[in-house]
Amino acid sequence: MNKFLDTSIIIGYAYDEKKFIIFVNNKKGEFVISYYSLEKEILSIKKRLKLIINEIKKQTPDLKKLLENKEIYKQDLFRAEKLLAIKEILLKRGLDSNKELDKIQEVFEIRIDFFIQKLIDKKAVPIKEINFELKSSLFTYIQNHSDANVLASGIQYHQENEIVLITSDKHDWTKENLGWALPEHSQLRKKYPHLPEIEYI
Amino acid sequence: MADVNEREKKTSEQIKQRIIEELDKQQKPLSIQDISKEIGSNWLTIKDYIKELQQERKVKEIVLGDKKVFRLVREDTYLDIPITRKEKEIFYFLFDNAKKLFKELGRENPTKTDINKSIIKVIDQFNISVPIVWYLYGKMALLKYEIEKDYATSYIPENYKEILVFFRETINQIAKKKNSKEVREDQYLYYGKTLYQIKEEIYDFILKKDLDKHKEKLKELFSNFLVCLSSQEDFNEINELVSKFVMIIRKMAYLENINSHKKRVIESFDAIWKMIAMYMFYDSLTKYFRFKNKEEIKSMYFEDTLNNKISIAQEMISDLEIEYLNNLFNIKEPPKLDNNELTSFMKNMISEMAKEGVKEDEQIS
Repeated sequence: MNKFLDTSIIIGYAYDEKKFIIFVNNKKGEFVISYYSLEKEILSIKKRLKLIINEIKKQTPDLKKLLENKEIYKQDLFRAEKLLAIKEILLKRGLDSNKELDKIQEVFEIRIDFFIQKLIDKKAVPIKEINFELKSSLFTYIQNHSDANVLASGIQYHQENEIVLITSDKHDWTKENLGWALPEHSQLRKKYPHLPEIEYI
Repeated sequence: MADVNEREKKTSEQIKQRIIEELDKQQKPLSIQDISKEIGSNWLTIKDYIKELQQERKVKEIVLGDKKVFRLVREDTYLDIPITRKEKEIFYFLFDNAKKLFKELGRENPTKTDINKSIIKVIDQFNISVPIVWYLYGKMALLKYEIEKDYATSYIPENYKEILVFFRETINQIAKKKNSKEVREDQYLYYGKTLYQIKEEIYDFILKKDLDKHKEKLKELFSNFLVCLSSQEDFNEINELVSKFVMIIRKMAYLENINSHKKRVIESFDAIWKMIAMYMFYDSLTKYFRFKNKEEIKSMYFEDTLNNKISIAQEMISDLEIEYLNNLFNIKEPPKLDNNELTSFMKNMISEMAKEGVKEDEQIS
């Protein structure tokens, strides 16, 4: 059966996590991904990573300045502080981490590009076509806009093309949450009667 | 304002000439109403003649907010930016003397670079008040230098003797340089313009080196170029484009046979440099008091050209990206991350970031 992938699968593959590599190497059926993952989530992570790395690489990084950028999250500041501390430790050991940071960013992006170009078979549900009511109902139980959008895309796609949802998120991507968001006999369930199976990595 | 009877006697050519003179005198774009008031012809007449002048490509329309204004197509200055009569005379004096001094050294036809770089040194040395700007090949006069043109002028500055002594010394030094490239590199060094120096290094590197054998150097050069770019706010769009371009180059360095993409790389870099240089031009011009209204100057002289350069650069970068993405099909496995402390930290960091999703305020309702 075809697999509808959560963004975390591509990101996990990009940062070279073993379980995602094994999953990809044993690919069966087609890989489908939502436009939301591609155009919103992946892009956002790439931008945040770039901004953090670029600031850390400076001779005198001004981490507070990172927050001036709308792409950056508050918690990214703490991450940047930790990264700067590691950079300083490595520097004391005589290691220049700037080149290594460049390499991490380059390899991370190439692996994402490779996945999208070579491993994805279909891109589905343009962002504008995500049903707002369905997304909102999913958000009530998941409390994460991105997950709600990707799940809504998956459910919408599943009505015409049978798929299995693939994720590493055992907490939010659950059968129970789908059931609560689309209760039996509700208008939403009538519109989307088929709920996809979920498989975890 | 002109007398009405006198106005009636004017031929159409005379009125058109008056319009041109007025636009030249005012040193700024004027509306039809402004022109008709200044030269004493009625609005409709001016409107018709302005239309004719536009067709003859002597006048250009600009839209400033909800107002239509007209500026002179000068052709003798870059982007038709106005300079005063006095400034023109000073430039003529400098061009004419530079030509003569090169001739004395047996250089009948000095290049535009030779002339421009020599007069810039003189202008800076004596704080001569004429507009000079940074563009594609460094600092240059706002008035275009034409090799065939006669720049004889009756204007002589008070300290001309002193100027000529310095001019001679400068030209002697420039004439010793092997070629224009050396002359302009000397200028970049003199003014500490690292971006221009790296630009030159990048062109040399791409044209002469085997890129597949020097991948690290390729990445280093482009990364340095990005670091040297100005980070001013109104430069953001350009910065982002350059950043995207540099990232593509850095990623291409992991693939085989970059040499086969050399042409595309150089074309893209060329488009990028033209875009940046146009911005440098705008930025250096607006440092002058009379051009200090950045927004107005941008709308009047730079908007179309700058947008055009940005569009071309975008197109070239997009083509380069397509070549890079297509090339990914030729590799079996993408590169892997190293196994070390830093990578391990970064893996965790990225994993956490992925769980957070996209910020709420960016959501599509």
